[in-house]
Amino acid sequence: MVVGYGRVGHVRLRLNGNENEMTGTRTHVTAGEREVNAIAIGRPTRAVLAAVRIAVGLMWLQNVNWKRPPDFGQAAHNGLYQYTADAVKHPVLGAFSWLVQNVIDPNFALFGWGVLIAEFCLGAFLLAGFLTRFWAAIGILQTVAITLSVLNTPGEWQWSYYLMFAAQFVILATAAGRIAGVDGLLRPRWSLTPGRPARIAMVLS
Amino acid sequence: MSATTRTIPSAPTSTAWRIRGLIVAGFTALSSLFSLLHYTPLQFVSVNLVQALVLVALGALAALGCALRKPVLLLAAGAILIVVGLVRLVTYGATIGIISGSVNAAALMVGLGTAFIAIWITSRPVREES
Repeated sequence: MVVGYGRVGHVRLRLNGNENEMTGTRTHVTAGEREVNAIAIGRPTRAVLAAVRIAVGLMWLQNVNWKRPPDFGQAAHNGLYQYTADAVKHPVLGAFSWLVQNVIDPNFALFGWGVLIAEFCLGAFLLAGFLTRFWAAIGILQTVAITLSVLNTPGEWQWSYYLMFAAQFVILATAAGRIAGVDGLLRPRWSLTPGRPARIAMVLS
Repeated sequence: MSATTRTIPSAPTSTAWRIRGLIVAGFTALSSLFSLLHYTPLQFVSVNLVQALVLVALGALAALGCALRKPVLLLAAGAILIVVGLVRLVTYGATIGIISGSVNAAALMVGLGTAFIAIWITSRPVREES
């Protein structure tokens, strides 16, 4: 049965009794190929996905502590203020530096509370696996902001931020809260509950 | 339109929610051990004495609810954890004597509280409009 198309190199392959010469042109992808390449979703895979979600939750949880109101380090030029100012001192993207200088800096306390609340929720809800896809998406946006602030700061290891992206894309793509998480407990109920809130929760989880 | 009670095929049994409740209660109580840890890389959460006592007490309350088949105690433990956590979030700028705990322990409390409330929800039959 033909189920799709794929591009492969110079290989000879026999699948479902049909021999195909594959010479870099479009070829049929059979159900057999899909079966051979199916990703295992057994217990080890599920355990790893839950562990990745919990680890990322703990990462946000541990790092929320030093974002301290009321001025978030603005007076002493430390803490969150120092890291945000790096977007201007060591610019990564001109537009983001302009945003920090002209929009964020004059309203830094408001920005600080936004960061504190976002990271508080990221830690709490990624750990519990509640509306996981939504919080993974927020985590990716927060990682974009952090990356654009400190990627060029001396002493930073750029791969920290690339790995943060990778881990959160894994959580987003696999909806990891459905494994050992609140989403896994509540989705069967949300699926039977009429109304918009339940439908939205199904999408965000 | 009358409200009817329907059981979903995957609805957990009494044993299921009690086991889940006990697991989360165990993690809640064990989280207090972070208060004894002073090695920064492994201290994922900074827990002070008062927060450690709150975690142990509410973990015990939830475990009691599982043992006595009283899911409402899970609801109570979860609600208290969420309220205590959110109170610390909004007062994080202030130092209030011995109860000034860290905000990451507060976030942990909100996460655990959410888990307790989700388990309490699964202990109840589904009511669906028909």
